Amino acid sequence: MASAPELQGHLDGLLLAVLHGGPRHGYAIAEELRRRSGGEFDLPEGTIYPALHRLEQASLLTSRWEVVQGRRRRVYALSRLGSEAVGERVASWRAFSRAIDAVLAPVAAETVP
Amino acid sequence: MSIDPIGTYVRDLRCSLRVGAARRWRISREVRLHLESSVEDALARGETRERAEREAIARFGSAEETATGFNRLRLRRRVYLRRAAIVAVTASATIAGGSATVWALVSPSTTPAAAHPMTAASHRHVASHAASSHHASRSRSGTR
Repeated sequence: MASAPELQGHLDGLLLAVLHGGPRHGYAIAEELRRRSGGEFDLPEGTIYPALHRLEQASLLTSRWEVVQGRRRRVYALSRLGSEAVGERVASWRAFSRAIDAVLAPVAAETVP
Repeated sequence: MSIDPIGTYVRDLRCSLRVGAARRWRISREVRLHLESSVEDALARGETRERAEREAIARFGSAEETATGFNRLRLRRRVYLRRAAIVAVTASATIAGGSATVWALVSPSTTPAAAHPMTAASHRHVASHAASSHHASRSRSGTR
């Protein structure tokens, strides 16, 4: 299970990726993050809100109060800049992931039965 | 456990936040709604309210940690605004200085000949030299 420090630096990209599927409020974002990761991310749910506010300040997200299922919610959506940033982060992550795999592969081949 | 653990949590969070009133209200509201949704889901799964509230708060993380996340954000914003102000003032000063220099060089009104005797003398010398050259060339062309 990935802990909060391990996810640090990736949280912004993960939140942008979740919102790429459409606007969501904070609780729904946390739920979707848990669902997509198969419960692998051991992240205090409270950490996503400062990240959402930071992304909004960076103009990557927009937000507004909406009534969802009879309750007022702050709903977040990707801005045009945010949509561009998702693509860039995915490409950057793939390059990083390939590099890590390349370094780990020889060790993994020896240790994995 | 208190009678209203979510209310207590939100109050603790509000006390630890070092942000403006509007942002504090928004954060408190978002966090309360999040915790209430979490409790509702747990109740729908058949958990007791007490257990649902305890788990919702545990999953959210401590009020102090959450507040620290927001307070860091504010600090970063202040640093950014201070840097932006410094850049703006420096750029304005550079542009103003540059404009003044260019204006001084190209505008004759800012360097009146009368105000600079040496310059006035130079002007007279150049003018008389030009006139004498013109006269000489006319004389030459007249002799041809």
